[in-house]
Amino acid sequence: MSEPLLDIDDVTIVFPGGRGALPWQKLPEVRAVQHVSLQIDAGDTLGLVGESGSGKTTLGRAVLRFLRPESGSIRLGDFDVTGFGRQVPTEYRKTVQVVFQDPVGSLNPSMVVGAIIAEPLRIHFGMDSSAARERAGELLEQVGLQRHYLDRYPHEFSGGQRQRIAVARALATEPDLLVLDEPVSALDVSTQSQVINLLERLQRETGAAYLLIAHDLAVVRHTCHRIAVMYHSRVVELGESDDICERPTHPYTELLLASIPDPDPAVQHVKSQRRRELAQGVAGASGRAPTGSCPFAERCPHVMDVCRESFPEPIPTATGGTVWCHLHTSGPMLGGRPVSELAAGSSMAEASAPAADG
Amino acid sequence: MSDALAGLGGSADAGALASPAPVPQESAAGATRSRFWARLLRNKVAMAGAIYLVLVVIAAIFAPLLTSHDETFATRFQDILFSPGEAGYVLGTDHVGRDILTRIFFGARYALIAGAEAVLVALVIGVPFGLAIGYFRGWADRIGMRFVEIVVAVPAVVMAMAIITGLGTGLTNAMLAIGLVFSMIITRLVRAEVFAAREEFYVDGARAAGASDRRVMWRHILPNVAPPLIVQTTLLFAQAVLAEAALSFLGIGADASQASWGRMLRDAELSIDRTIWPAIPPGIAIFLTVVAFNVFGDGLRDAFAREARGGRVGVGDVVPKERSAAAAPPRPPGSDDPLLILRGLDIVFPKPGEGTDMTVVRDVNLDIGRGEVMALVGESGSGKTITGLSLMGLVPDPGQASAESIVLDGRELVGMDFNDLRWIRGREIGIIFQEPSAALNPAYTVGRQVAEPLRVHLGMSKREARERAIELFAEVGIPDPHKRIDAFPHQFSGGMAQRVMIAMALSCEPKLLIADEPTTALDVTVQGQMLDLVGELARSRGVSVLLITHDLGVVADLADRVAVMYAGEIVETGRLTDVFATPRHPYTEGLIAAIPRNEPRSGDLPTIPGVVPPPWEWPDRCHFADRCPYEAIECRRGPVDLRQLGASLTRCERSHELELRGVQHAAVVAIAGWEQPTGEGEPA
Repeated sequence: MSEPLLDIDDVTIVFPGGRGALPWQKLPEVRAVQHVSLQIDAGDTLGLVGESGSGKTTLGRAVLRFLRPESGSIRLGDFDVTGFGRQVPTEYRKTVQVVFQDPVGSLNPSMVVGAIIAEPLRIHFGMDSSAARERAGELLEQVGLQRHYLDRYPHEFSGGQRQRIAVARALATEPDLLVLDEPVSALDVSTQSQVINLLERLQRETGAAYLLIAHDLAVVRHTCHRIAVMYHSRVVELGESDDICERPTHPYTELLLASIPDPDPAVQHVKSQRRRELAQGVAGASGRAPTGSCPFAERCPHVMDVCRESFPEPIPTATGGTVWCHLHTSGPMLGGRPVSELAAGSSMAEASAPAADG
Repeated sequence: MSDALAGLGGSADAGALASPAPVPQESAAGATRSRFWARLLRNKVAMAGAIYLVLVVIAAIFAPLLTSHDETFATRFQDILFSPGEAGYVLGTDHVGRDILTRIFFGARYALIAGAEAVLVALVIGVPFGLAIGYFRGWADRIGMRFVEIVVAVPAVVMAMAIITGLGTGLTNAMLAIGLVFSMIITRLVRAEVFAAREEFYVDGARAAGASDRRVMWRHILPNVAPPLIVQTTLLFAQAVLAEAALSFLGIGADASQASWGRMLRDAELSIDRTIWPAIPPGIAIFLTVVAFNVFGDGLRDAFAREARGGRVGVGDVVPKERSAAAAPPRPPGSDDPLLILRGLDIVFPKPGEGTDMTVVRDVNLDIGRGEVMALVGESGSGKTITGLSLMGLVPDPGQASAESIVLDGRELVGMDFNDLRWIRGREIGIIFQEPSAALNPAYTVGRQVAEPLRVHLGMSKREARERAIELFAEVGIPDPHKRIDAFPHQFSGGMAQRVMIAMALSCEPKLLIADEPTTALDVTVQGQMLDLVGELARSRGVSVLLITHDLGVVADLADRVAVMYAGEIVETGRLTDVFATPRHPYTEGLIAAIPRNEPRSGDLPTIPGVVPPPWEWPDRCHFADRCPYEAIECRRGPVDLRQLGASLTRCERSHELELRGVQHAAVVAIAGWEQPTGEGEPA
């Protein structure tokens, strides 16, 4: 097996706690990402799925080297990203590019589109203004826009068009990896699929790998070959897209799947019932991520004592993925099989009783 | 593969190749530059200030040409103090016989030079310093700000004296000192603005693109913090003119040979026992110049600020409209005794940059049954949100809504007295918005905000209202209602804040609840709980819900009936199961196909090519024809009316001959261990 393009190894990211209302009060630090390891092969797409506060965006920002992990290492090609000093090498900036969610805020409102796209060309290829303009025009055409838009300001475009401009700017440096942070979640559904189709076509044309950060598992399933599910600072499940979305092995993944509403009223009726069975306690991750237990324990319908005592070791699933969940080694002993085989609720009794077969 | 590529070139990209199609608000911003100047020119006070300042500049430049006198020793009468008008001296002379008018003109020169020097020094020091500490933050910021605080604490005059002691007297040295003090004000301002701008994604984008820190600061951040900087610079100019006058009056600014206004005041003091007159012209000159800079600065600030607010200054109500003479449109399907009957709603906005009107909502008819959840679906720019707002009388200025009839629970609302209307709306219609945290006032406890409508509309006492608010909190599933009621909005998560909004909307037991994208800002697992809550409330209390959303999945979860809007018109309406299973309009079919569902991927994702066109491009025929895969010659003839087809109404010329695909054609979710849906019926 060849080396992966991006290798995130056991990364933990900590934000220092701020100061409290009184000068001597210090708030505890926030562990945004804990012990995450992920790989992306060249030309491949990894989906990073999770809700707000899960740490997915923070991890993306660490790959972009906007922040430095507390521990662990990130390697991209020949770059030791965590080893960079204060100055990030320009060559690295050329290798990794980013597209953000917000199509309004991500383009400088005081620059014309031509200047926005030309900027990386001039920085990384030292192009003069006419060569950069020529190439910027080509890039605009590549993302399905017209060359004469070069002289317009970002606010003259619709959300989908602005996202195309952001993609054109990102592709200008011919990057090996594109970090896509919720690239379509602010767009209308019809525009969403246009942008996704565009991103896929561009991947075929340029061979860039994608790290797609998103909250919508259905969108991610359609775009990614592999998916990592994050919950409150931890990756809890990792595997092939179709396996994750049809045979989830972590209770949180199943809850996420049940929570995506389906437009078919009959299907949605089933899903919403399942969702009600699975949703326990207060929804939404809140507070600080625990260090020594499973962060999902408070909401998990299958929670056991062991879940509050330690964070589980990775377990291979039956379909070749990885899951971090005590259900597979203690209690009902799923051993890598889908979690949906457990009837929600009934396992509560099992869990509180000592595991007889353990 | 080649198929996929062809499909992309043909469909997905075709729309994007059309001209930029901003939605109305965006294009309003489109004319930013010209509208900024137009707004500034309309501000009469600011313009008066600007005109005065232009005159001052002219006086300063052409001072030697404007009078025949000399700046210093103007007259032959060195010891005579002429009164105004005497011996041809329009404003008289001072105690050594110098022409006051001449000195006023030359004084403008010194005022402007002094002001420019001080402001220039302030900018040259303050802007880079503020940019740097705002951008790098951390220890640079901490040390920098301490320095700023120390410099600001030293009185400007003392600073000026210190510098003059070191460098010698003179106007330039004095203004150097003033500029140094001012630079700290600029530093603070720039730092605060950079703090805010640094959070913008375009700054991260520029860093990712490889721009150096210096480039990010100067090229990306500075232009966007320029507006407040320009305003502050204008105001500082006024202060510099004052400071120059004060220092010159004290004798440490302009020297005796320079006819500065402050120096003139000092000279006037020498003859104060004879007359006060020589002090009056320079006094007025200083006063007017400072006022002019201030009003012009304030005018600039207003012109910039209104830009940010997007011109929203008020809301308007629905005005009555003549019943159209044409045959009544088919009645929307639904119950026989609906709670809300809306007929012929039109909403027009002035077209940006022009005087003409454009219609953004046209002839909308809606019936909402009692206890029914009616979904209004469409993409952004379809007019669904503004339709909901018009029911509350909240059409944003300068929009104009008109309707033939809005009947709520048997009462006609159109044409009703404003106060009665406000009363009815407060009590009988509740509304929840997309961003709960933005819709709650951060300065008051949530309990107080929930209690307010109870006290206003139901006349409850403070204690009763509080008790009721606690009950409502419990009802919408907020844990610990007794404690949480005294919390502030920022102490709630998004989902909990939305529950507070719902409690507020339900407080007066409304008959109709308008929910505008109630779950869009929430996490998907929280969204589920919110849908359950709204559905449960609708069932148990018999509240009707108008659910405005773009998410067909949310609609399928909650709605009984659905109306699909496209480009200002309802294009299809009917029962949820009918519309989603057998859509009768190609747009509905396209929307359903475009939703990403949990199903195996095959080929390119289906899209609706292109984008919703802006209102001024809506044609007189089918609005959807340009994006429609089934478009034919008859679609281009003229306006299309809603027509009955099956159990639904559709606005499509070809609906009778089209076989459109609904939701069931997509592969159904299959997850091991889950119950499988059984066709149409509800699972047992």
